[in-house]
Amino acid sequence: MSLDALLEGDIAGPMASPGTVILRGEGLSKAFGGNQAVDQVSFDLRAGEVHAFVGENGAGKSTLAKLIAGVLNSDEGTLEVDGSPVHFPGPHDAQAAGIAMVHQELSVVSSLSVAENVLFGVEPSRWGWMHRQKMSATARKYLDVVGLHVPPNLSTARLSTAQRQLLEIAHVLALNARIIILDEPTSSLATSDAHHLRELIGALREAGRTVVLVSHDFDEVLDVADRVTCLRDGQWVCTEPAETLDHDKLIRLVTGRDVLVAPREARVHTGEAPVLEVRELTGPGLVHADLVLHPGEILGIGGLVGSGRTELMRILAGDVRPTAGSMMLFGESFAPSAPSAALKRGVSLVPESRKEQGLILHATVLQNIELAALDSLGSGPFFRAGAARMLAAEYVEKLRIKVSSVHAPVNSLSGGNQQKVVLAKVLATQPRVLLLDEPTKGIDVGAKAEILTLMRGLAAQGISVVMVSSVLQELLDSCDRIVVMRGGRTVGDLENVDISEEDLARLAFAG
Amino acid sequence: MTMTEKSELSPASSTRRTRGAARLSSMNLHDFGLLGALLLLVCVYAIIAPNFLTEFNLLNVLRQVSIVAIAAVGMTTVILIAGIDLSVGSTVAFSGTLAALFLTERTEIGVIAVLIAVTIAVLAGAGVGLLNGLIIGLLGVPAFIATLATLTGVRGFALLLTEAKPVSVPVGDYSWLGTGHIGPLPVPVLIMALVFFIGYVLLSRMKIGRRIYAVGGNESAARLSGVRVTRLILFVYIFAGACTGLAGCLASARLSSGQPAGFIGFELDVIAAVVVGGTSLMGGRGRLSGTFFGALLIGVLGNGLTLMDVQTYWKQILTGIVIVVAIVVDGIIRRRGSQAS
Repeated sequence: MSLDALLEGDIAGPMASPGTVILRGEGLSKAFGGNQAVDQVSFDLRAGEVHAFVGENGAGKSTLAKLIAGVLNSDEGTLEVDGSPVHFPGPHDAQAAGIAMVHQELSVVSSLSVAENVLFGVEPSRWGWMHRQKMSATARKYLDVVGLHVPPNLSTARLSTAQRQLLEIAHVLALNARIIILDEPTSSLATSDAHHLRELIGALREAGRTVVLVSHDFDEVLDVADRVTCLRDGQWVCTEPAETLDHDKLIRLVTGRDVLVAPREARVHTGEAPVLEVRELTGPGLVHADLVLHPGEILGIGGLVGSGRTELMRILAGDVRPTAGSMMLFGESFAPSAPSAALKRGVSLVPESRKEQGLILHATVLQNIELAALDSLGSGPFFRAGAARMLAAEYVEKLRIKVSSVHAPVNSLSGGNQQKVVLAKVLATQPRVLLLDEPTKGIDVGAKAEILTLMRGLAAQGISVVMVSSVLQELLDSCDRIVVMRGGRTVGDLENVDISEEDLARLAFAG
Repeated sequence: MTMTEKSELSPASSTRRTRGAARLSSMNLHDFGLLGALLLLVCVYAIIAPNFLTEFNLLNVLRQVSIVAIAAVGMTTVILIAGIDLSVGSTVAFSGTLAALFLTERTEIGVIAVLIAVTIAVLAGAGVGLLNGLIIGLLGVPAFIATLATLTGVRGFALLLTEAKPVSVPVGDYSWLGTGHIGPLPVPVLIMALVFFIGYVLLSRMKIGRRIYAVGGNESAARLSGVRVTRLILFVYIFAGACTGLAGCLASARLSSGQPAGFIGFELDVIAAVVVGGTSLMGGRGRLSGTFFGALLIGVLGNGLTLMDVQTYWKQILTGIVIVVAIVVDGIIRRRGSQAS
């Protein structure tokens, strides 16, 4: 099923010839409380272009996208579609005008099947009843296009985060919009899926659709975008054709400074007594894993989503029990029955999904940071609030978490600062082994650099770090050694000397 | 709200600066709202309800509220972990009946016998709580279903023990628990104050309180942060059961009898107090002070209507309206408080 064949159906709203302005925003502003998220921003979208919004977290990209999609309403300013002013009270009204958005916070309905989610709102029906067979067939077409190969009748609850992301994109395609807004579409995707998505975006442009791409991934932006609009602190900075930009220019535009983490010199640790030794480990989603971790070492784990990397991390953190194999920590047997047991032995995990597993979103920064270290905050069963506040304030300062007070709810923070709160919580337990599962996912370049720098500082203090990342370059820049996983097995263990992204990719993909 | 304040000070010093403002968080606003509603109601009744604003009546309201409020302390902890306990009415009947069975044959009821009877009732409640906790925490049955099962089962057990007949208790020290006074204050009111104090220490001054809020806020994040969730669930349901058992004991003392067929639907009064008090049924958010004001608001509402000789059906209708208004107002406060980009 090709995209063209799929997209030949009538799209919502009239089709404009490529290059003409189909949507224009003038002086758009939006504030949350006293926080001016979007401040007097003007821009336009043309038919058949890929238009990227870039900026740090909190720069207002997502808010601007939500204003276009009717998810939020602007305080000031106007929106025009095809030259006439419009007002979208809700997402439904925007969809009627041919505008649909894939959200960063995944909004699939877990209790429905894959097919029901794809065709949510546009279910094929016969005499008012849902037409199940047709539904499966139609859904499958969209699933094929986005490269999500699962049965349409599967329960959505069983999909991984990456698969849900693809599912959402399939849903937006099914809505048949002419302006498609993708908010951080690749932040949870592995390299191969992300690559597939880029092709898909290209195909949408060929089909005359307009794609708005909100992204932190500058390679992706430079690869697929025609024009780039940069935002900083809610304000418009510039709109430039993508071909006049490069990586360094983007970083300067987005941050207003030249930040970059220089690649770190890898160090050889083999020969020292290992901190953690994993032998022939088997468990759910894990076929066979061997691993050795040395003191002060940063060990990278590469591989595709579903290769067993997250499963391995969860076993190490005590969240899942292995079915066979052995683990040794500082020369003693290590078989944690629960995360609490692993924490007691000094093994702490920063989980893959900070919203679902890392944070209590409505709770305060303080309540989140104190949680894992509670045992040390007060004597016996009693809790010392003063000690907790000092601990939280200490880590807010150490990790430079941007927050007005430790009593602010974490859902008011940007993604990067939220991730730092998770890190603060974990570091407050004073771990000896730090497990990081995709620690830089969905956060901006500035925060990414800070987190990577912090991780290196911890390793320099003798803490051993295991870091899972879908971004191979990130592993190459920071790790001493890289283990590659594929199909539930560890398939390569490489000293990070003279190896390239291709070497890693070959190991991760080879069948 | 504090999140929107921009501060150029270092985080540590700004923490101190904004703490006062943070104290005025959304939950406190809810407490103020409840207190305002309560004062308004008192003012209205003071004018229109005969004998409302008398010392005797006000203490009487407190005593009437105390049994619901004691059970509501336990219910608050259960709802904070995103659970629910529907077995409260049956447990009140069961524990009160057990205490009455222990006392019914005695000719003389001394302090020791009373203490034993109280212990029996509290342990009976804790036992039902343990059962609830095991079904929910170990077998993974949703709290709603698990406690629906114990609601039926425990009631059946109480009826079986007594062949469905009330068990009378000879008048003596035991009824003093329900009807007596220490100084001007009714005994149940003093016991209620003690239970609220214990609940306050548990939720705000002990580590387990922090963990209760965390599990209700995000169970998997709490687990990964080292909270032993199953143990916590067991503890919370046992604690709630013990509170309910004590409430059952006071109820039987007040009536001088165990009522194995009584208190049907009592759990709904308790849940209403907690919910009106601003504790979220989704878990993780709520305060014991809210629960107290919630119970009091519903109690005062009914008391004034009784004094005015209004049919009790009106009380039920108004209670329903109060629940809806409380939730809607709470939602508005919360949205205003936590809207973020």
